[in-house]
Amino acid sequence: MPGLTVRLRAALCASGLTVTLAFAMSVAQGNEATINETTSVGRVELGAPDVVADATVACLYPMTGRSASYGRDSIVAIRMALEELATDPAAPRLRVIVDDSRSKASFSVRMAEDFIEQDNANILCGMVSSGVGMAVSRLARQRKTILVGTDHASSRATLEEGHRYYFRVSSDTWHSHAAGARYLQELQREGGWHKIAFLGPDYEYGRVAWRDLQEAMELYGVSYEVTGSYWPKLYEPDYSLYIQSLLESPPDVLVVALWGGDFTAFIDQARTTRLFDLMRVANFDTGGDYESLVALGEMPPEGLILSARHHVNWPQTPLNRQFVSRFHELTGRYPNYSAQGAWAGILTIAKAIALAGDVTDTEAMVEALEGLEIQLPKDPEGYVSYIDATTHQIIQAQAIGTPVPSQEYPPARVILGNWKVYDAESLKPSPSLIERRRGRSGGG
Amino acid sequence: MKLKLSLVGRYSFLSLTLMIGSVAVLSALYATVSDSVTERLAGERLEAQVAGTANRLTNFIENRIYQLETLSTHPSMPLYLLYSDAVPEGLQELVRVEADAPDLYGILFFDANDALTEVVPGQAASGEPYWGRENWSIAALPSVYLDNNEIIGPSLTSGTGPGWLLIRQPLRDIAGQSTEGAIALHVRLASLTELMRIENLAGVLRPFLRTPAGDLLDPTGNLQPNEPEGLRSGPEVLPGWRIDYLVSAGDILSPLRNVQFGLYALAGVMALGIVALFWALARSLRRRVSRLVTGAEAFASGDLHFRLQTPRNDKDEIDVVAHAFNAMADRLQDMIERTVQAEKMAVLGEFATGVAHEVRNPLATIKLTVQALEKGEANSQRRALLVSVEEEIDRLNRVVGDLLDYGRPVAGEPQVVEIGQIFRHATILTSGLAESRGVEIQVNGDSRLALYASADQIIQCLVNLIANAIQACKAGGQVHLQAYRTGGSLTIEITDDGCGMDQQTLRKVVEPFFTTRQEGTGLGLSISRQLIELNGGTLGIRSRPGKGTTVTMILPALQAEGDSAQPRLT
Repeated sequence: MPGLTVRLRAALCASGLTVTLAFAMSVAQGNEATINETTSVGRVELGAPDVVADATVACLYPMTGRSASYGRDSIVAIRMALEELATDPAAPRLRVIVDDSRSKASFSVRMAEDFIEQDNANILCGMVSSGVGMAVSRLARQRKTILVGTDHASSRATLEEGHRYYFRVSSDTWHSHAAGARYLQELQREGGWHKIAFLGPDYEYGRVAWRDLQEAMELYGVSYEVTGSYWPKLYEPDYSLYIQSLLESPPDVLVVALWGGDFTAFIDQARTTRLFDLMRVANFDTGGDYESLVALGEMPPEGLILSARHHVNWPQTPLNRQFVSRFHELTGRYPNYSAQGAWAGILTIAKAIALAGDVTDTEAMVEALEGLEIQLPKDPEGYVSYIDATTHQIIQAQAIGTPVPSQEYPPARVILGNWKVYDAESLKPSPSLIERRRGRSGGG
Repeated sequence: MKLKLSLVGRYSFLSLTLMIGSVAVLSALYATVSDSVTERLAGERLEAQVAGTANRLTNFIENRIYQLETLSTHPSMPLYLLYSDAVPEGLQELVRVEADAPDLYGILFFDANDALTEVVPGQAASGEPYWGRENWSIAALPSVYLDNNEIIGPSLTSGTGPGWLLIRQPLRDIAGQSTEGAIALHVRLASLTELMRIENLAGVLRPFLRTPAGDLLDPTGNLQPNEPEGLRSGPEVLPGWRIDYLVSAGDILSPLRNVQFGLYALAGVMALGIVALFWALARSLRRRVSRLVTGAEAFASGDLHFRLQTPRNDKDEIDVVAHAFNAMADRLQDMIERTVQAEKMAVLGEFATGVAHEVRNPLATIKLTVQALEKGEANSQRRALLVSVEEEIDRLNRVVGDLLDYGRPVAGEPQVVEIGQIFRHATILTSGLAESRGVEIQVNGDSRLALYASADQIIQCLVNLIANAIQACKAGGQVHLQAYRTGGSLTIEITDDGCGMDQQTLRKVVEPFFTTRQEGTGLGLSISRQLIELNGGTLGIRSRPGKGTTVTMILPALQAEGDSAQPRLT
C-alpha cells in the first residue's frame, strides 16, 4: 500500500511522525497483512502491551445489537491505523482497548470510569450513539480526560455541551444537515417543494439533527412548512404507525435521521407503500452508508437523497481509494462510515501525542489537538481536514448524492452518484451561531 | 317488411338479460359477503380490541409505577435530594440503569417545592432538562393522581422534540416521616401512544388518546389538530386519560366498494357495447336480408334475369344464401324457359298438324285445278295470273312444310360427313343470293375435319344461317365461314359484318315467329336451333349493333383413331 502510506506520511510528517511502508514491506516479504476479525463481543486489546505503551486509548463501540456492525468496522479500522503507526519507529506506541458499549449510556459511563480508574486510560474514544457519547463526554469533563469522538454526531457535544477535553473527528449533525439544507434550498429552486416532515430516532442524535436542519434552513432562507415530526424509539422494529401517519398527511420532502438497521427497516417497510410516490425522502447524515446501500438492493425506491460521514466512492482520491480497497482486502467487505472515523481517531490521537510529547500532559494534548490538521480519506483533492480550535469539531466537506446502479462495490447494487459537494469552510457554524448555541444548553 | 322483433334483436335481448342477470347475482353475492366481512371486522371484535388497547396502556403505566416504586422505596434514595454527593455508587448505578430503559428519557428528582434538583439522563435523553433547564417547567401541565402516583402531563410534541409525561412518587426522609421531595420517571409519550397500534384492523378502528387537558393524540404521539367526526368515547386508562376511537369500516372496505362500483361500471359499458354491437349487426343483417327479399320479390314478379351481387368467396351465411339464390334463379329460369318452349312446341305441333291436314290437301286440289286451268288458258295474261297463283300456293305449301318441320321435328340419320363437303353444298346453295346482294362469302378452316350428324339437316341449318347473314349485310359485305375443333366438338362459326342486333333482339331472335324482316316467317332460326339440338349440338349467337353477328354451331366431332368415344370414322 505505498500510496496509502505516502499519504499517511504526508499527513503525519507535519507533526514529526514518520510512517514507513509496513503494508508494502509485508507484501514484499510474502506476508500479506491480514486482519483476523474476531466476532467476540467483549473487550479487545490492540497495539502495544501495557508495559511498553506510550499511551492507553480506551474506545467504546457497540458490538451487539442492531449497530454492532459499526463497532465491528471501527475495530478493523483501529487495527489498520495501529499497523500504519507500527511501521514508524517515531510514532507513539498505542495500547488500544475496545469494549462493548451496548449502546447504553449508564453502562458506558461505568465502563469509561473503569477504563480511567483500572486501565489507566489516557484518552477515551469511539462511541456510536450520541446518547452514549454525551454521557461519556460529561464524565470526560468531570475527569478532565480527553475524549475523541469518532462516530456519534450530535452537534450539542461540540456546541452547547462542548468542553475543553472533548474533540470529534467525524462530521456532526450540523455539518451534514447544513449541507442538507443547502441541497433542499437548491431542490426548492428546482422543484418548489414546501412541506417538510422529519422522522428521527427519539434520542439525542435525532433531536439535534432536526434542530440543526431547521436552523440551517432558516439560515439559508429556505421557506418551509412542517407537516409533522415523528419520533420512533431507537432500534424500533416497526415503523408502520409512522408510515401510516406520513401517508395521511404527506409532506413534499421527508427528512429521515434513522441510521443503520433502523433506516434499512424503515425503507423496507415504506417501499411496500405509496410513500415514495408521494414524497422525496432524504437522509443527509447516515443514509448513504455502504450497508444501507447494500440493503437498497438493485431497485432502490425513487427519489432518495442520501449522504453519509464517509463514502466508499467519494472523493476519488488515492487516499480514499486505498483506504477502501485496503479495508476490503483485509475483511472481504467494504467499510461503513464508522471505519473512517475510528481510523481518523487513532491517527489523530497519535499525531497529537507526537506533537504534545507526553500524553499525560493533558493541557499540552488539548493544545495539540486544537487546530490539528490531518489528511483523511474523506478529504477531497487539495483539502486537509482540521479540528476547529473553537468547537473541537473536525471540519470536512460534505457530499450528497442519489443512488445510481453500480457493480463496482459488490454486494451493493447501487452506489451514490449525481454528487453535490459543499466545501468544508462554507458549512462551518458561524461565530454567532456558536455563541447563540453555547448561550443555551437546552432546547433540544 | 316490418319485423316485430328481429332475430338479432332477440339474441341481443337474451345476451343482455343473461349479462345483467349474472351481474345482479354476483353483486348480491358480493354484497352479502362484504357485509359479512364488515360485520366481522367492524362488529363485536372492535370493542374487544378497544378494551385490549386500553389494557395495554394501563399495563404500561402500571409497569412504570412498579419500576418507580423500586426506586422510590429505596431507603437511600432521598439522599439524591439532600446530599447527592453521598449517594452510594450502587444506588447511582441502579438509577442510571433504570434511566436507560428504552421508554424513558431519564429520571428526575424534585424537592418539596416542585423544583427540579437532580436529573439522571437515560439513553434517550436530549436537551432540557438534562442539558440546561432554564425553560423547563411542569407548572402548566395537567396532573392527575392514581393512588400514591402523580401523572403529570403530557407535554405535547413541539417543533423541537417529542412529547413526554412524568410519573412521580414522593420520597420521604430516612425515617419515613415527612416528604422531602419526589422522584419521577420521564416517560416517552410515544411509548404510551404507540401501544394503540391495532393489529389486523388498520383502517377500521383508529384509536386516539384523550389527555386530561382534552387534547387528542394519535398513535405516533402527535396532536390531532381536528377532532374526527363520529369519534366514540372509550374506556379510561388513567383518571382523565381515555381511549377515544373512530370506526371507519369504509376505509378498509372502500377498495372493495370501489371494485364493486368498477364492476357495475364495467357491466354497464359491456351492456352498452353489446347493444351497440348488436344494433350494428342487426342493421347490416337487415340490409343484406333486404336485398335477398328484394331479389325474391323481383323474381316472383317475373324478372327471371335478376341476380344478387355476391362476392367471389363466401364470407358468411348470407353470402351462401345469396349464391344459393342465384343458383336457384339460374335453374328456375332455365326450367321455365324450357317449359315455355316445350309448351310452344306442343301447341305448334298440334297447330301444324291441323294446318297440314286442313290446308295442305285443299292446297293440292287448288294447285291441280290451277295447273289444269293454266294448261287450258289461251290468254297469256290470264295464264300469267294462274302461274302467279301457283307460285303462291307453292309458297304457302313451304310455309306449311316449315310449320310441320318445326312442330314435329324428325331427327336425321347421323353420318360421318366432312366439313368441306358441307361448306361446299351450303355456299353453292346460297351463292345466288350472295351474288344478288353483292356479298362475298369466305371459307376458312381445315376441310378434312369431319362431324357426325345428319348432313342434310346440317346443310339446311347452314344455308339458313348463311342466308340470314347475307341478308344482314349491305352490298360489299362479307360472310366468313370457319370451322375448328375444340376437344370433342366441332365449332362452326358464321360471321357477318352486317347490321348486328341489340340485346333485346338477341334474346328473342331464336323464338319462333320472331323476325325483323317482313317476308320472313320467323321460323328459320328456330328450326335451325332445333335441328342442331336434334344432332346433339348447340347454337349460340353473339352480336353487336352496327358491327355484325357471329352464329356459332357446336356439333359432335368425329373422334380420331384411338379415341374411345363415338362416333368414330370407319
